[in-house]
Amino acid sequence: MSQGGSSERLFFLRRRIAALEAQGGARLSASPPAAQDGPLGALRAALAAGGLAEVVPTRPRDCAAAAGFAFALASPAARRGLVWIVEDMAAREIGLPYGRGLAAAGLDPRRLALVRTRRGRETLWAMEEALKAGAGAVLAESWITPAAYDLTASRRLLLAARRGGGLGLLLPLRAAGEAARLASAADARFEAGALPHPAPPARNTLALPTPGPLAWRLRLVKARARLLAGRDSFGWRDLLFDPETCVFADAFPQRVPAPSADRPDLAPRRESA
Amino acid sequence: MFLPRLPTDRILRRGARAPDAPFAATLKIKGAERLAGVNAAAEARGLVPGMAAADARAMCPALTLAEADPHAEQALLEAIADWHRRFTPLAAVDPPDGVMLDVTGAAHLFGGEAALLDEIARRLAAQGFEARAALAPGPALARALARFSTLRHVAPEATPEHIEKIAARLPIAALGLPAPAQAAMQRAGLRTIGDLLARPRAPLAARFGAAALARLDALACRIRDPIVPRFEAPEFLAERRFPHGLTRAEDIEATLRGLARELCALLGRHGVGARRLAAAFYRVDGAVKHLEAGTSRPLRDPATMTALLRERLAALEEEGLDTGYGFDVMQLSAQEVQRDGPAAGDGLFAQEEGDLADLIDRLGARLGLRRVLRLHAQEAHLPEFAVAAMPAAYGEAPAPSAAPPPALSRPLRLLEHPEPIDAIALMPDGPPLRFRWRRALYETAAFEGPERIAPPWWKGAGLTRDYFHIEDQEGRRFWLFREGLYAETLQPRWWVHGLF
Repeated sequence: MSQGGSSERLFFLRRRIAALEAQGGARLSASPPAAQDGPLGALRAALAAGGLAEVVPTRPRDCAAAAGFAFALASPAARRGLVWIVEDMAAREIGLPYGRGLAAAGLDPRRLALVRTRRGRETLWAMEEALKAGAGAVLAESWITPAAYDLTASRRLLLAARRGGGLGLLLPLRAAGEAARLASAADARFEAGALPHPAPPARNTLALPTPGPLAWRLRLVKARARLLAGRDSFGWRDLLFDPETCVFADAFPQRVPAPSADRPDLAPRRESA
Repeated sequence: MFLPRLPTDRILRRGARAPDAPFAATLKIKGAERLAGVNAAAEARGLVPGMAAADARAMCPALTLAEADPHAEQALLEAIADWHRRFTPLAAVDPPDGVMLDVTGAAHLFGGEAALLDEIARRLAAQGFEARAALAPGPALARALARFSTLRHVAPEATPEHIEKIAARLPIAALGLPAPAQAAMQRAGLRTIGDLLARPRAPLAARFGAAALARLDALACRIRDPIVPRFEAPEFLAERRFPHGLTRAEDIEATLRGLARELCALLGRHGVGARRLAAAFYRVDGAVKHLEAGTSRPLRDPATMTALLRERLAALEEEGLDTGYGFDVMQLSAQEVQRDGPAAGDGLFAQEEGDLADLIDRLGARLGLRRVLRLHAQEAHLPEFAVAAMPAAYGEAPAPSAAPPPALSRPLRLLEHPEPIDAIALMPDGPPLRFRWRRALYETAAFEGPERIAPPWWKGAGLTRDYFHIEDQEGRRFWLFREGLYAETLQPRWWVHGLF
């Protein structure tokens, strides 16, 4: 790479060191990751003990980002086994889960079963069976119409999740942008999309920064009161995800490391932890 | 089992025509309409297969004709062979108009060999087929008896001399040789099998070939020629028969449950578990329905077995499991068994191994085995080959893969096929500034790359790929590649391969 690219990388590394320092080296400790940490931590822990949530993409183009968020949400529960159901239409739109990428994001491929379904009804059936059988997490990407996914269908899934004690996550991809109008019995519903990049458009491609960690802009559309801890709210918020600890972090944290003399002034704020 | 009137019976049993009027099925042979099959009434008026249709009409003005369909006849013959599996698991098709059964050790279940022959002929007649069944110690002799003799039954313990005496009375055609060889024998004055048996073998072999002698030996039951069954005989089988057909879904399921219990007891006695189950439903009117279900581990639990078959039935229900007049024979068999060793501890889900293995079987039974997959890491550099999705029912647990190099970014999702995009790059090796995918325009805001992946040169030519991890203005992430360096091609193409 050229000079511009390598300085960019150096910049990125420095920022990472700063982030580690700001957390007092907590990431380096060998203690098991605590799922309760960070925003959404309490909600996620409550859901993982037998709950059903929906993740609705903000816009049709955000389907892949919403699926990424659902995967991040499921990742602690996925240690007890993840059943990932992909309907054919969803596979055509946004592809299939990729083993190497999942491994890089912290999922052991031995814990994953990939199920492909043809129609929405099959997806709901497979999801219900998987939840009843006690899979740790079941993630279903479906092209089902909001009309077909009604109160009865979602209630069945909810009961199956309660019985099996796992986390059910449904992505009704076709309902993108209609999160508020969906009627279902789910415990919680998120509306999620990609987090827009803060940098202004550049003329010179080599001056562009490197992509940061996975980040989403999302909001809770609905949640049962018992699931909500004080920190989770219904407003839009921007979250980052760290695959090593499976913890979400606010993209705009309270604790920002003090800028030091040798760091560039213009730090893209979303990158700090 | 010989079905002399298959072409006409196939059409007549649909019931559109009066069965006692002369009727023939025709086939175009070398541009001329010829009779392929005639019914009994037509035969009584002197019509024979092979006759030209115009001649037949002249001989019998009342004759009605219909076109024969060799493919449909073949399919029908296979269905008939399947139907015969209610008597013995070893049934073979003997085209164009016969079915072979190996009833060794099965005949006594139906009250002896003569009773079995009667029952087969009676049941086929009830379905509208004229059938001639014969039973003999060798398949070639049985075949010949059914076609060329009125003798129906040769006991298996018959002496070779007795068998030769029976065979000697058969005509030369019983050998089933091609027409020229048969004509040559006729010219030599050989009329019956007895003429052949009486002559020394060496001159016969020199004149008519070794194949003719082999057939002769098979006919005289001097060599054993086994039949090639349509389905392999299952390792273990449980079966129920009913005097009347079962139609209610509850009854069918209860029967399946009972069969599963029997089969599991059988499997348990041998210390094995089923890896592949097959259920066969024999309908009263002759249709046979087969179901198969695979399991991901040796299975010996009746409840799980029933649940698995229920899923297969439920999957059928959408296209309709046609009970029709009801099923009168139901079989459940273990097609493939495996000794169940200690459960493999390194499975998909550490704790509830059994439950989730059952889940995989159940999903596979309903959705199809190829739709329940496990991801196996492969030693390959091209991203689409680095991970193989294999059916969970067959494969072992994926081997723990070596951790991928952390510096390489890999997307969470890979498109089923890379999709072409229109991209504008400012520099030959640089990332695209903007690109158009599925008619939408994306502006690059951040990128990482290129990561250069060379094609496997030992497998032939291919273009080098430069992969970029791109984030657009809206924060969406893509995994793009440029196929071909500028040194390799003048017009490199851009593709999107994955999404983060």
